[in-house]
Formats: sequence, C-alpha cells, structure tokens
Amino acid sequence: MVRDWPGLAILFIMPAVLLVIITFTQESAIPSKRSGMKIALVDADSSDFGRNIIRDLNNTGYFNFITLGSVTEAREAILGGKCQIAVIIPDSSTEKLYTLLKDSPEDPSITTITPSDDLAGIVFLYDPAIQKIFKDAVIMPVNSLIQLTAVKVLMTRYTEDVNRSMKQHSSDFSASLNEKDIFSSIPEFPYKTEVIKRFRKELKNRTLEGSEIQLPFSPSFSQAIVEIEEEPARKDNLEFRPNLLQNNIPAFTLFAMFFIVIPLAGSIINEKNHGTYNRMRTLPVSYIAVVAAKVTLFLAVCILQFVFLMFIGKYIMPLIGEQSSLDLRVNIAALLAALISSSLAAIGFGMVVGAFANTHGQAATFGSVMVVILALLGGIFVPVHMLPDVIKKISTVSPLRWGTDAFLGVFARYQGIEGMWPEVCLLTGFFIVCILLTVRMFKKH
Amino acid sequence: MEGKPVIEVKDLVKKYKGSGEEALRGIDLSVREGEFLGLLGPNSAGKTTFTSIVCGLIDPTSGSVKIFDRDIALSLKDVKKRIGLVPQEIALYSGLTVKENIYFYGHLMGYHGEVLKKRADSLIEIFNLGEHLSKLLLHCSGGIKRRVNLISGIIHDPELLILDEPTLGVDIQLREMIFGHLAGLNRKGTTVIYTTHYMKEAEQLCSRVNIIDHGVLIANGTPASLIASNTGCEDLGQVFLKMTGRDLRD
Repeated sequence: MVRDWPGLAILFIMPAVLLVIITFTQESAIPSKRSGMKIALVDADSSDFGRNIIRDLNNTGYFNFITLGSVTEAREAILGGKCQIAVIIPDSSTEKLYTLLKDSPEDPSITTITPSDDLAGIVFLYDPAIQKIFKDAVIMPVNSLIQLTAVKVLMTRYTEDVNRSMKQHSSDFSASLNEKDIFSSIPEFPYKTEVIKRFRKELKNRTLEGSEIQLPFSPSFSQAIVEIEEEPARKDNLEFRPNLLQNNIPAFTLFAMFFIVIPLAGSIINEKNHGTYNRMRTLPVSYIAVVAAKVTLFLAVCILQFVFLMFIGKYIMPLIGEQSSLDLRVNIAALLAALISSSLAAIGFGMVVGAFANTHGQAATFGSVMVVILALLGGIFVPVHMLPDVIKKISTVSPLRWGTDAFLGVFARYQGIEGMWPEVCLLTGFFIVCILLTVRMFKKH
Repeated sequence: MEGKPVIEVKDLVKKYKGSGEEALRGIDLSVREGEFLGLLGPNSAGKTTFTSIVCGLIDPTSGSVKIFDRDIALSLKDVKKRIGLVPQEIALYSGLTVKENIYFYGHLMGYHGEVLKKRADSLIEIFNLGEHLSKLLLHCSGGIKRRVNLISGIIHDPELLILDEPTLGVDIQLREMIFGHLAGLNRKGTTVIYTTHYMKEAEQLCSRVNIIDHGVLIANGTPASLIASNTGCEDLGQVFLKMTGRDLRD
C-alpha cells in the first residue's frame, strides 16, 4: 500500500484538504468579520440618523465596512467586486425620521410620535450574484440594527422633548404624578407603552424638579419604522430582478458539468487498459483528431446537460412549487461563451485525470473529490467573497470559480460578453493546458 | 530471397528509461513481400518491443527502421495506412456492439459508406459473426471478441499484417478458421509477421522463423532448415528450447 501514491493521496491528503476547506466554508456561511463579506456605507444624510447608523454598525464587530462617498461609487465598488452590499442612507434621512415627532394637539408643548408608512427610505444595494440566503443573512441583521438605531435616535429626541415639556410643566407634573397618569394624555405612537414603562421606572422615588430624565435606552422593539428597499446593483437600468434560480441553476449546472470527469476519465482509462488507445496509435489518425473527437463528443454532452438543467429551471421548478422560473432573457453571446468555455474546462479536467489515473477507482475518487473541493473554492456552495482571505486567494485558481463568475455574470448580472473575457480566457486557457498535459502523458505512455 | 523488402531493420537498439538492460541489442532483420514470418522468443525476449517500434508505438533508441522502403521516423503516417495490427489483448470498445466496433475501425482507416459495408460484410461472413452483430461486445464470448479483434486489424486489407498471439485462449475450431484466413491473406500477397508461443503454429504457418532472445536475433531460417541444422531436434519446439535454454524467464 505504501507504494500506492494515488491511493494514499486519496486517503490522506484529499480528506485533509476537504476538512480545512469545509471548516472554513462553514464558518464563512455565517456572515462575520472573519468572513470576507464587505459592506459599503454611504451616508448622504450626515446627520443624527446617518452618523448613528454608521457608529452602531461599526460597533457590532460583525462585517467589514468601508465608507464611500456616493451611490455611484457604491455601485461601482459592487460591480468591481470590492464589496457585495452597500447601505445607502439618503439625504435628509434624519429630517424625515423626525417628522414622526408631532406636536400633541392637546398640549402643543408635548411632542408625540405618529406612525407613518413612508419614512426615511434606506436602500440596500446588493450584488445580484449573491445567493438570496447569503444576502438575507447580511441584510436582515443590518436591517434590524437600523430599525433599532432609528428608534434610538427618535427616542432620544423624544426624550429631550418630553424633558423640555416637563420642565415647563414641572409644578403641574410633580403634583399630578401621584394623582394622574400624565402619560395618558400623550397620543398613541408605536412604542408608547415601552416608553411609558421606562419613564415610570425612571420616575419612581425621584424628585423631578430641576432635573432631567435620562432614558435608559436599550430598546427591544421589533416593529420596523424605517422603510428599507433592496436594489440589485447594475450598470444598466434593466428591470430584471434575479431570483433564487438565477443563482442556483447556473452554479449547480457548472458543478454537474465538472462531474463529466467520471465518464470521460473512465473512457480514457478503458482505452489505456484495454489496448484500444495503443491500437488507435497504430492507425493513420493524428493525436489532434483523437482528442478533437473526444472533446466534440463530450462538449455535446455538456451542452445537452446544460439545456436539460435550464429546462428544469424554466419549466419544471414552477410546476413543483417554486414561485419563480429561470429568467432566460440573458445575453446569448455571453451565455454561449460561458457555456462553451466552462464545458471545455470541465472536459480538459476530465481528460487530464484520465491521462494520469491508472484505474477507474482512482479517477472516480480523485475526480469527484477534486470537483467538490474546486466547487467549495469556486463559490458554488458559499459565495467566494464570504470566504477568508487565504481561501479566497486559493480560490482564484479554481476553474469552477471562473465558471461560476462567468455564469453568474450572465444569469444574475445580465452581463454582456464584454464583462466576462477574463473568465472565458482563463477557462479556455485551463482547457488548453489540460489538453497539452494529456497529450504529453499519452506520448510518454 | 524473393520480393521487395517490406521491413528492413538495421542495428536496432531500444533501451527503456530507468531500465538497466537494453530490450533490443542491435537487431538486423529483413522481411520480404509475401513472407509469413514467425517471430518467436521467450517472455521478455524483445518481440513486443520490436513490433511496437515497427508499428510506430515507440521510438527506437538507435538504428534504422525502413518499412516499404521508407524511413518510419519520417513517413509514419503513410506507412500506418499500409499496416494492420492485431494485438494480443482485445483492443475493442466493450460498450459498442460487434458491428459498431468493426465499423469504427473501418472509419478510422478511411473507409466509409458502401466500400466499408462491403468490406465489413465480407469479413463478417467469413468469420461467421452475422448473428452477433448487434450484441454489445461486453456480452460476447471470448471467441467472438477474438474474431472481432482480428477483423478490426484487417478490415483495411493491409499490405503488412502484424499479429501478436492472435490465437491466445481460442478453441481449436476457431484456431483453424484463423489459420485458414491468414494463409489465404498471405497467398494473396499480404506480408505477415506472427508472434506466438505455440511452436506448432509457427511450424505450420510460417515460411520463415526468427528467434529473438535477450534482445538479440539468434536464429533465422525456414522451420525445416532450423530443424535440420540442429542435430537431435525433431520439431521447432525442440529447436527453440535448444537455442533459448530451459531457464525460466521474467
């Protein structure tokens, strides 16, 4: 067994690699500062609300934040892969938030909070290539935090107003405290009960005259008072909104495509072991013709597989309960470039595994485990930008990452071919290198 | 000797990388048109290395190989069209049917359409494969596989046919059928190089026999002349044992 290097590699090295990568990947599945997820903050408000949001987000200790100056900068940063989500705090957000504070009609000196459906819209700009589950994993806690910040800002101002009011009515207020619930005169607002509870606690056994109430604020409200909008970042003004299938179908199609390593490597091993390869070499057929025939056949298989999975995404998924169907209003040239270059890369991988492996067992085990590793590195299961920096750097050499980027460019970002040349070139280059290695190995054999 | 030279080998040496010994050590050998040459030798004598070089599968370390008067190193592709190889192993696709295998190799040799059909049908009839055409090779018996293996090597009617133990593991009936066909091909002008461990076969079929041992050509002549020149030997088997010894080989 000690002489069986491929077997030992499968038994020891590959599980070790899987262990490391899966551990990092699982950790990264939960957004955190350690994960590579970057969030841009654009504070066009530059007032109480905006400043508090930025401070509170930074204080969480989660996520990596970068501060940008404008929405355009944020969009470019997302499209350039520098960050994946941007929180845009629009101009006059504080002002809009404070419009919820209204003068009480019964007593103009007391400010009250009036609920509103249209308030200080914060925008989450996101990379459409992020899978929904990971986008939500970031947006939901950030959203909650913004709601809390809004309440806090609002309550701080409200508390100031109430204090001011109480000073004006201090004599009446002190006298009435034990006789009458002054708060009953305050009109209804979303957090009135909570505020009153806290005020009561603060007011108990306390002489009010000449002092101010400090609201011990640690809100635990759940009702959203700030409207949040989610908007995919795009260069153009396309109205398409990527759904779950736009991410999942292409990514897992690519994953499936690379499993062609098993039949393809198997056929090469058969040819090597059964003598058909040697026999072929005695025939007046060139290497190029043999390789081209194999590539053509398996390219057709990859394309059929792709069409089959697209068909499922488009027509079968809606039938079995998925709310949306795969949107195929994509750039056809970009789609073909991504499909053919990814297929070629998968075929090249299969051929090189077949050329180097001696048995079906070696090829199947090595091939399938490698595909899983490359898929983990390639962002099939967890987006690449959520991986730790070290893993992210390693992932740049995974053909599945290039393929994922290319397909997500087509299906999630609705890109044209001009935006995906690097991926197409890398995939094609990988194919060429694999073919050269295969031919070299065959000649040596 | 009559006929044009089909194979002319001079001072052929082959040393594999990492191997301490030379597999072929200065072989000089010539095969004429229409000959049926038996290439004999114990295991590891160098027979497969020799046929592999002639077929273009491996390059010699030194020496020259001319086939049909052309240097194999310079005009391999042209030479390949005129050579047929029937390897010892069943070098066929088990996932294809009998017919598909035959047609596949026919296509690779450049035959198509009616010409290919005519050639394939003729061989299918000779080797009595008509009722097995649609069977997957995977499910065929060893005898059928052997026949398909042979047809695949001769479907293009090669001028030079190299057979590496084509009767390994076949019954006497099929052996006789194969011998008959090979003799027929040879009568029509096909030059044959036949490697085998069955001395009786070589004695029966071959017009001339070469014995190789330890990479060196140690005997060359007709079976009858070799038997006659080795006192006390009554058949080719005894000649072979006398010349190569009784020690076991690798």
